[in-house]
Amino acid sequence: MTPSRPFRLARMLVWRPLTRDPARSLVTILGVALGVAVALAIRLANDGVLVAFQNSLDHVAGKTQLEVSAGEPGFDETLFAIVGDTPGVASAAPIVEALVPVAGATEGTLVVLGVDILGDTAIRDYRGPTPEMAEPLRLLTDPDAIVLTERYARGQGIAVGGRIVLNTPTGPKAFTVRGLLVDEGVARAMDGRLAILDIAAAQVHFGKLGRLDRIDIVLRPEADVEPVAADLRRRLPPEMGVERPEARNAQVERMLGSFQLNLFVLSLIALFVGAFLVYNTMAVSVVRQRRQIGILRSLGANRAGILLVVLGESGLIGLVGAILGAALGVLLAERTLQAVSLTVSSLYAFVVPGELAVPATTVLRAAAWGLGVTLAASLAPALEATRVPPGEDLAAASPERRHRPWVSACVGTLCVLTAVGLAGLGPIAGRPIFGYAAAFALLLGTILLCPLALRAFRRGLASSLGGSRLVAVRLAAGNLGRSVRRNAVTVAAMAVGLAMLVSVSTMIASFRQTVEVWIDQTIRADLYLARAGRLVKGADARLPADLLPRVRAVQGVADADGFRGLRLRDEHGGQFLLGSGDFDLMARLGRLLFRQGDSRQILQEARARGAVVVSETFAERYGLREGDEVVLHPPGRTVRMKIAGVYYDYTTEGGLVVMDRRLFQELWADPWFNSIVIYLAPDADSEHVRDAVRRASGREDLLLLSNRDLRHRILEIFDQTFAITYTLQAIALIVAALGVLTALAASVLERTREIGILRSLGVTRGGLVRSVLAEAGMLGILANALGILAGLGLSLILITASTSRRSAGRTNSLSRDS
Amino acid sequence: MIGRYALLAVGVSLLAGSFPAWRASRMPMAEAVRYE
Repeated sequence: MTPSRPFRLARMLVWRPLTRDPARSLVTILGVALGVAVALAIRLANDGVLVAFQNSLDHVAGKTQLEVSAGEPGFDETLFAIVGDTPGVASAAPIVEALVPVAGATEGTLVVLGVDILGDTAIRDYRGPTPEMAEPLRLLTDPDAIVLTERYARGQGIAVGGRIVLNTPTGPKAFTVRGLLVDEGVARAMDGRLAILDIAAAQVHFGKLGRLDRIDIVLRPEADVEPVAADLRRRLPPEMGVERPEARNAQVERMLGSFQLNLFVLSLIALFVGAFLVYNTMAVSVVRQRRQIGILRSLGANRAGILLVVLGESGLIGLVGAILGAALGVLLAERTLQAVSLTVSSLYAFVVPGELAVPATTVLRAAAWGLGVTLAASLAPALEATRVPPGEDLAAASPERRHRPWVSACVGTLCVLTAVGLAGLGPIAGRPIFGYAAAFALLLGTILLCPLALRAFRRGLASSLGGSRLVAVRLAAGNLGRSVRRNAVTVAAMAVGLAMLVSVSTMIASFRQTVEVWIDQTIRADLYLARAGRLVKGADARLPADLLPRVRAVQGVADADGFRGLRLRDEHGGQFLLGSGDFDLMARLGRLLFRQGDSRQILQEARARGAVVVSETFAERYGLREGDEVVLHPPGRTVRMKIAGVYYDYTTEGGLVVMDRRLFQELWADPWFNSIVIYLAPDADSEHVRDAVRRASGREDLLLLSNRDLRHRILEIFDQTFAITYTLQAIALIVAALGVLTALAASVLERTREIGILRSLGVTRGGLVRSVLAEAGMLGILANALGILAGLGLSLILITASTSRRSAGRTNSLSRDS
Repeated sequence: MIGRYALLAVGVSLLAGSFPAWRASRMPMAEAVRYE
C-alpha cells in the first residue's frame, strides 16, 4: 500500500459521508461546539473569580505569615503590643481595612487600607513612580492624604494633587492624592481598586478610633508558624483568630463551592444534550452506509477497521466541534466572568475580576471532553456498524429490526426507581452527591423510556386519526413509527433539556414564592434608610447611631428602629452575622416568620430573658434548635445565650443571630447602624417624610426606599442571581432543537423517492410542509410530556435531597441586615 | 410557567422542523414510479 492509499481510503470513508450532507454535519458540529463553549466559559469564569480573590488576598497579604483578626467589630489597638512582644514575631503591622464607596465614580468601590506606612514596608511591597512616594512622611503629616494605584487613578482621570471623595460612615470626605503606586505588589490587589491611608487618619475617618481590623505578622527566620500561632491564641482574648493568610483563600473556596458546582453542572447539560445529536447523526450515517460497509467487509475489512472508520467520522465532527467550541468558549468567558463576578459580589463578597486568564490546560481539557463525549455518543452506532455482515445489501431501516423497546423500558423503570431511592440519602460533606446521582438516574430512566413512549404515542395517534381527512397529519404520524430509534433519541434529547429547564425553574419559582411570602410577612416598615454603597456585599455602609433620634424627631415618623449587623468568626474559621434591633419595637410593629411560635411573644420573651433568635440557616448549619445555647465572644468575654426562636430569613449567607439592641450595646458597645426602618404616622405623607428625613440627616449618600421599592429591589436581586441559570438552560434547549432539525432532515432525505411519488400523486408543496411540521410538532409534544413529567420528578428529587435551597445559592437583599 | 415551557418546546421544534419541511417541499416530483 502506497502512503497515499490510507489517506484516500480515509477520505472516502470518513470525509465523504460528512460532506454528503454538509448541513447536517455542520449542525452537529455546532451542537458539540455550543456544549464545549458553555462548559469552558463557565469553568474559566469560575476559576477567574477564585483567582481574583486569591490574587487580591495574596497581594494584600504580602510577606504575611500569620494574621490576627476578630471579624467585623475589630479589636482594641492595645492588643498590638501583646502581638509585638510574642516570641518569634519579627515584625507586626496594624491594619484598618474598609470597602468604601467612592462618591460619583463609575467604579464605585475602593478597598482602603489604613497602614503604618513606616513599618508596613517590611510586609508589603509599595512602589511608586511619583516622587511623593519616596517621602512617606507626607501621609503622616497630612491627615487628608491618600495614595491611589496608578491604574485606578488613570482610569478615573485623577492626577497627583487631585481630589477624591470617599463616602465614609460619618459622611462624604475629600482626600488629596499624594502619590500613585505602580502596578506591582499590593497595588495589584482588586485589579488596582485600592487606596492607602495612614492608619491614624483611617481610624478617624472610618470611625474606628482606638480599633484595629487586623495585625499582619512576619516571623523570625528560626520561628515555626504553628507554635507561634498557638502562643498568640493563648495570649489574646477568645474572640480573636490567628490564622495563616491562606486560610482566607480556603474560606472563599468553601463559600463559593456550592454556587460554582451548581453552575458547572448546569453548564454540562448542553454538552450532554449535544451527545444525543451526535448519536443521531452517526446512527443515520451508519444506516446510510450499510451497503458500503457490507462491501468493505466482503473485501476483507475486519470489525475493528469498521469501528475505526465510524469513530473516525465522529472523531472529525468532535475535533472540529471541540476546536470551534474552545474558541467560542474563550470569547464567551469574558462576559460570563463579568456576570458571575456581579452575582458573587452581590451574594457573597466583593470581587473585581482581573484580566481573564485562559490556561491552555483548561481549554485543552474542555476540548478533550467535547471530543470524548462525541466519541462516546457514537460508540453505539459504531458497534452497530461492526455487526453488518459481509455483503449486506440492504437499504435503510435495518437497525430498527433490532429494536427492543420493552428491554430499554424495563431498564428505564429500574433507573427511575433507583433515582427515588437515591434521593432520600443526605449530602456528603455538604455536597449533594446523591442528589446529583438521583437526578442523573431519573434522566437516564426518561431517556430509556422514550422508545416505548414514542411507540405508544404513535399507536394512539394512528387509532385516533384513523379515517381522518388530515392527510398531512396522518402522513406525519406514520413517519414517526418508521424510525423509532432515531425519533426516540430526538425526543430524549429534547425531553432532557426540557426536564432540566422545568426542574430548575420550578425550584427557582418555588424559592421565589417563599421569598415573596417572607417579604410580605416581614417587610412591614414604610421607609428604609441605608447608605447608597450598601448594594456591594461587605462594603462599609455604617450609619452613626446618633442619626436615629434625629429621624425619630421628624414630623410624620411614628417610630424608627436601627438595625446593626456584625460579621463574626465562628470557632471553625467560618463566618456568621450577628444582628441587633429593638425587640420591643419589632414585637409591636414588625414581625419575623418563626418556625414555631408567635413572633410577638418570642421577641418579648427574648428581650426579657436576654435570649437570642437565630435564622433557620444558622440553626441548620450549627445543628441547633429552639432552647439550645449559642456561644458568642463579645470583646474579652465568652457568653452563652439561649435560642428563643428560629425564624426564616433569606438575606444572609451563613446564618444570622439576632439580639435585642440593649443587650448588644452592653456586650459590644458598638455605636453604628447598618440601616434604619421607619414607621409612618397614619396621616403622614411618605414623600414629605422622605424629604424631611433626608434633610434631617444632612447627608447626600443615603438611600431611602419605600416599602414597595425595597420589595422590588429584593426580587430584582433574586432574579439577577438566577439569570445565568436560564441562559445555560436556553442553550441546552437550542442544542436539542438542532437534534430535531437533523433528525427530520435525515428523515426527509431518506424519503426522497416517496416524497417525489407523493408530489406526483398531487400532494402540494404546502401539504408536504404541513406534514413535516406536523411531525416536528408531534416530536415536540411528546418531548414536552416526558420532559415536564421528568422535570417535576427532578424538582421533587432535588427538594427531597434538600439541595434546593442549600446549594441553589442564597439570595441577598437589602432588607433588615442591610 | 410550565405551560409557557410547553409552548416554547413545541415552538422550538416547529422552528427546527421548518428547514427540513422547506427542503421536502423543494424535492422534485417522481417522473416514473418503479416498484421493487
